[in-house]
Amino acid sequence: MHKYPITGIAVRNGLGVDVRAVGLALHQNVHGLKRPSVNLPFDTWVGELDPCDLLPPCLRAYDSQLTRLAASVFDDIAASVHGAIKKYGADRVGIVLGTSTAGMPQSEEAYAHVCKYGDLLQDFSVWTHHAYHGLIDVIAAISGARGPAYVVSTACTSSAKVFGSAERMMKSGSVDAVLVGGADVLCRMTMLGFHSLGILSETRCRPFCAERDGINIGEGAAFLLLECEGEGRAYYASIGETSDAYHMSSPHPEGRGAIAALHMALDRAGIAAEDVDCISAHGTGTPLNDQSEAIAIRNIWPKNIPVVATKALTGHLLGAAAANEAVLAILGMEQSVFPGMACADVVLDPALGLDVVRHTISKNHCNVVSNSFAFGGSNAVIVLTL
Amino acid sequence: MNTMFVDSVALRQSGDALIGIPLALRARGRASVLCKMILDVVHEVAHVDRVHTPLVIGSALGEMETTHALLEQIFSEDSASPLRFQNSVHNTACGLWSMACGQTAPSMAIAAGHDTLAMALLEAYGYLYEYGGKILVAVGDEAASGVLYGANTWDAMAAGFLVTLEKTDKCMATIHMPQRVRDEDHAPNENPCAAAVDLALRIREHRSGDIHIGRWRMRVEFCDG
Repeated sequence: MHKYPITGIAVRNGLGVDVRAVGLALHQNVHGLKRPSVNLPFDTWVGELDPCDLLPPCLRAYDSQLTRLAASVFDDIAASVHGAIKKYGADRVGIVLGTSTAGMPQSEEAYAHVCKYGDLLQDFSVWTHHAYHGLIDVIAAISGARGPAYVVSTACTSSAKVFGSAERMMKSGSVDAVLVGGADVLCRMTMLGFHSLGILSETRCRPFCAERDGINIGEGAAFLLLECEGEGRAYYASIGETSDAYHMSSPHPEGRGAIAALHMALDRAGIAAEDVDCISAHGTGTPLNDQSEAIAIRNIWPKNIPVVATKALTGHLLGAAAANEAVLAILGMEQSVFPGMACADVVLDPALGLDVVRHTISKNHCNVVSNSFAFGGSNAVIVLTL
Repeated sequence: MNTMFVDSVALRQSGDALIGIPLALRARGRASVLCKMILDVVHEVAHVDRVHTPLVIGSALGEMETTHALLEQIFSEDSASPLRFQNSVHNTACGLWSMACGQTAPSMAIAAGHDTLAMALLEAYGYLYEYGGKILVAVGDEAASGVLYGANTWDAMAAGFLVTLEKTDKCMATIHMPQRVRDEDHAPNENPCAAAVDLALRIREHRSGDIHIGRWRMRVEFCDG
C-alpha cells in the first residue's frame, strides 16, 4: 500500500505555542487546561490560548480569531509548503482544512453590537469573517498555493477527513502535495451548546474514567504537509470513513459505524490489527462516546492495546481535533512516548475494559490508529506510521 | 480523462415546492431551509442504492438560519437549545440523510466560498476515482436574510447531481474537471452556489459550454448517447 510522506508539521494548542513546546509538554506530561477567562453561567475547564497577532494589512478584511490563529501556526510550516511549491508548482499544491466554528467569535461580537446599538459592527462581513472559506483564503494568500482549496466541516471529524480528501486528490492526479489540518477557536455558542446537551464537564475531563462527565473544549490549530512521494518524518497510510445512520449527536451504542471505519482504515493501509501499536482515541470523556468507542476498540483488539487519550491534555479541539491529535501521535512516535493524562488520581472505568495510558510510558512504536467521531454520525479513522 | 458523467440532476430555487424531503413529519418541521432543499434535491437524483452511496454536500455558509436563531437565544437567554445546537453543524444534512436512508457510506460537507461547486465536484471525482460506483453531490445556500448578512441579498437555491465515472445510457452530460482561471474572488452579492443553477439548467436544456465557478471554469457537454 502506498504511504504518503508527511514532510512538515505545525501545531498550537493549550500545551504550547509550537511543535517544540508541545513536544516538551508531552514528554513532561503536563496538561494545558484551565478555567475560562470569559464569564459563563456554569463551571468548566478549557484549553484556551493567548491572543494571536492581527493579520497583515493586505489581509485585514479576513481578520478574525480563527484566521489569526491559523496564520500564526502556518508560519511554522511555511518553509515546507514553499519547498513543495518550488518542487511541484503552485497549481499542484492544494489546501484542505477542517473547522467547525469558523468565524463564530466575530459573528457573536457583531451580533452583540446589533443587540446593543441596533446595527452590525461597521467592519463585520459575513463573507470574510464568518464564512468557512476565510480560513483557506488566508492560508492560500500567505502560502502562495494555487491548487484546489476547501474547508471540510463535518464537526469533530473535519480534520480527519481532510486526510482522505488529500489522498484522493493526489491519487487522482489533481495535485502533488496538500496542506491539511484544522483550526478552531473558543466561542460562546459551542460552550453553551455542549452545556445544553449535558456533555460539558464542570471539571477537568477524564476520558475513559469511571467518573467521566463530559468534555472540555479547547482551541488550537495543526497543519501537516502531505506529499505524493518521497521521505517524510512520518507517513499517512489510510483513512476509513463511514456514517452511523443512527442519531445526530449520539454515537451508535454498539459502535457499528466506528467498527466499520476501523476495519476500512486497516484494510486500506494493509496493516493487520496485531501490528498496530497504539490507539489515539477520540476519547472525549462523555459517558456514551467513551462507551461506544471502547466497544469498537475491543471488537478489533479484544486483548489490551495501549489507548492514548490526549483530549485530557488539550481539551476537545472540535474541527481541529483530529489534525491536532495526528501531530501529537507523530511526536509520540518520534519521542517513543505514549502520553498519559497528566492527572494523578484518575480511576479508569473497569466496565470499558481498555488499557488507557494514565501515566506516560516510554516505548518505541511506529503504527498508530487515530479515531474521530462526530455529530451527524460521521466516523473517520486514520492510520499513521513512522 | 478527468471527466465525470451526470446521470441525474435536480434544481430548487426560491418559491419551488419541496415535495420529496425524505424526513418524517416531526424531523421535517425541525429541519432548516438549507437541509430541506438539499435533501429534496438529493432525494430526486438518488436512483441508487442509498445505503452504500456516498454523499458530498457543498455550502459556502451552511446553517445560517439555525445560527441566527442560536445567536438570538444566546444574547437573550444566555443559553442554547440542544436541538438547534446539534443541527447547527455544517454536516447536518449529511446526518439527516444518513438517518433517513440508513446510509452507512461516508458523507462529506465542504465549503469554499464561490468555488464551492467546483470543489464539491473535485471531491466527488476523488471518491469515484478511489472507490468507483456512483456518488450524490448537492450544493446550495440559504437566502441572505438574517441580520449578519448586512447589505447582502440573494435567494435560496440548491442543486443535486448523480455522477459516475462510467458512461451509461442514463448519461445526461459529461463534465470536465474544473480548471483554475483566475485569482480574485467574485463580488459577494450573489448566492455563493449560483453556478450550480447554470450547470443544472445547461444539463436539462442540453446546452454544452463553459461554466464559471468562482475562480474556476468547467466544461460541460451534452450527452447525445
